[in-house]
Amino acid sequence: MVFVIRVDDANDDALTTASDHIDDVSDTASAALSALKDAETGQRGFLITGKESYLGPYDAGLRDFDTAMAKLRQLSAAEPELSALISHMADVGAKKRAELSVTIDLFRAKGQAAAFEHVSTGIGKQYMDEIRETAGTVVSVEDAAYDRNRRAAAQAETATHWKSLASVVVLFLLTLMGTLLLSMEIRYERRLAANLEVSEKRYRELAESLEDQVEARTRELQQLNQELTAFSYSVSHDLRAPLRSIDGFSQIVIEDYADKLDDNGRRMLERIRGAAQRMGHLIQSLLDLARVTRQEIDRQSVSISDLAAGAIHHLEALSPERKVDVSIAPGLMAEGDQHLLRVVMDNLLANAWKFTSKTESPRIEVGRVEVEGKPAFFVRDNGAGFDSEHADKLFRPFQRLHSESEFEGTGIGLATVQRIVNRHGGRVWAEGKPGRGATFFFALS
Amino acid sequence: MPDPLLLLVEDNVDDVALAERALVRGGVRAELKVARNGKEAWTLLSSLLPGAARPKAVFLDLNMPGSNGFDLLARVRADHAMTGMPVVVLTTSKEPSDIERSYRLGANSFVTKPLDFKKFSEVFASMSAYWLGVNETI
Repeated sequence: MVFVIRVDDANDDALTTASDHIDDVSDTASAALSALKDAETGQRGFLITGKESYLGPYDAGLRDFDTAMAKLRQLSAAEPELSALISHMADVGAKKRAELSVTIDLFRAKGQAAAFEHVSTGIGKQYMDEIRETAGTVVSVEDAAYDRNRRAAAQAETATHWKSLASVVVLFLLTLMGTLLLSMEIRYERRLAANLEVSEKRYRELAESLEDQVEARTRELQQLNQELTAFSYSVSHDLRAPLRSIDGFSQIVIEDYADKLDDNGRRMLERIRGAAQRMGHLIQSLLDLARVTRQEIDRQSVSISDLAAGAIHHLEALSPERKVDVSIAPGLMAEGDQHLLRVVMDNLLANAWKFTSKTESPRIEVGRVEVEGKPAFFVRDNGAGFDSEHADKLFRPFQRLHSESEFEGTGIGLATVQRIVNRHGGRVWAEGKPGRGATFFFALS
Repeated sequence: MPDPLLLLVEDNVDDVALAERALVRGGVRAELKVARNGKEAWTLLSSLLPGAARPKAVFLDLNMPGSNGFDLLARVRADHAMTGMPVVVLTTSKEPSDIERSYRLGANSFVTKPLDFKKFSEVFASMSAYWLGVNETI
């Protein structure tokens, strides 16, 4: 851009425009630099933590950089020297972008170490330094242009007769203001760059300390998990043994003291036995729940249809007197842990079986539907159902929506189901109406 | 002829009483000797004179203070004279790791004690009868 300033009556306007223009170029060069730094900060964040959320600022930084460069190209179109600088800046910018995107791809394909190795070659820093330098040159070129502009104006002043003193005063003030603004701008740009360095360093330190914290926390959790394992082991032994004594000696009293016991006495002993049995089941369910939490997931192709059929077969064997209309869609396949998915299907079908026990012509259906474009399996029954207001309570341990005298159970089955589905990265949910049946859905990732 | 021997290694006195009861209920003719931990059982087994009748089966609890069931199982299998003695692990545990470890150490069988006394009686009596019978035919 060459300033062709015709100093005439309109020179006020021309100078104002020139001053605006210089501000614009400096601003935009600084903005481009800072946008690229944002992108780099985002990339570093992603490389250090692996979190996709850092790629938001990265993308935004690149977009801002493009916008700023387009504007610079437009502003510099008329001035060859500036234009050359801008196009150099754009070239190095493109290389820097490529370098950023290569490290991110490396991270995804080969992991953090490979990405860090690429960063440590220093090529990215080299590009960044070059861009910073070019941006600095752009600002100083503009500075010089402004000086030229001012000199031209001054010469014009001596060559021609100013029609009014006011113009000179305005020119002087504007020049002064412009110079002031420009030097402020440069100082600001430098401070901005320094601030960015500082915040980048701080950010890196923070990320490192976060990493340390995560590691410490992981160790803590592993230890807690071991303690939980030891705890459930001793629960399985020490809590169940007395139950066998309670049940056994109640039975022995019933047998050995039959002649001394009346019906009421016998009934009470039977109730003691019943309670011991229930507590035994409860402990077993808790152990199963704990086991589900710590067991490794072994993913393979699993037939949900077969698991459902197996569960129904078992339920039919337990209560052969019941006639339930069961329909299982054939060929339902899922990717997951065979053993854990069996626990899911056993629990869901046992629930459906249980809650249709008081239903006339009970029906249970197993199938698959598309939910938000993803396959979800479902187990539907026409049994007791539930109030959908309480749907979130269903999956909490020990939250029962029906009294135990109505439908017996431990209140842990669905909590176990949810835990298994969560461990597969999936989701489980339910729909229902009181007296109109329930449908349980689950989707695995 | 004296009744054949069975050895129950169990620290829980209630479980011992229930086991004795189960044999009576099941009509199993055997003398039930009891040791309260692995060490006591080992002392008892190694004090048997050569040629004296050995237990037809050892029913072994796993979780006992001091020397536990795994220790005794390993010692029995490592001992030249006792290595063939039938050992049935009889425990409250259903842990897959306990089951695997028991079989790896050479248990003949792994049985989880039922909580229900009627079932426990049936299981204990029929197991005893089985091992007494097996040894007779060998």
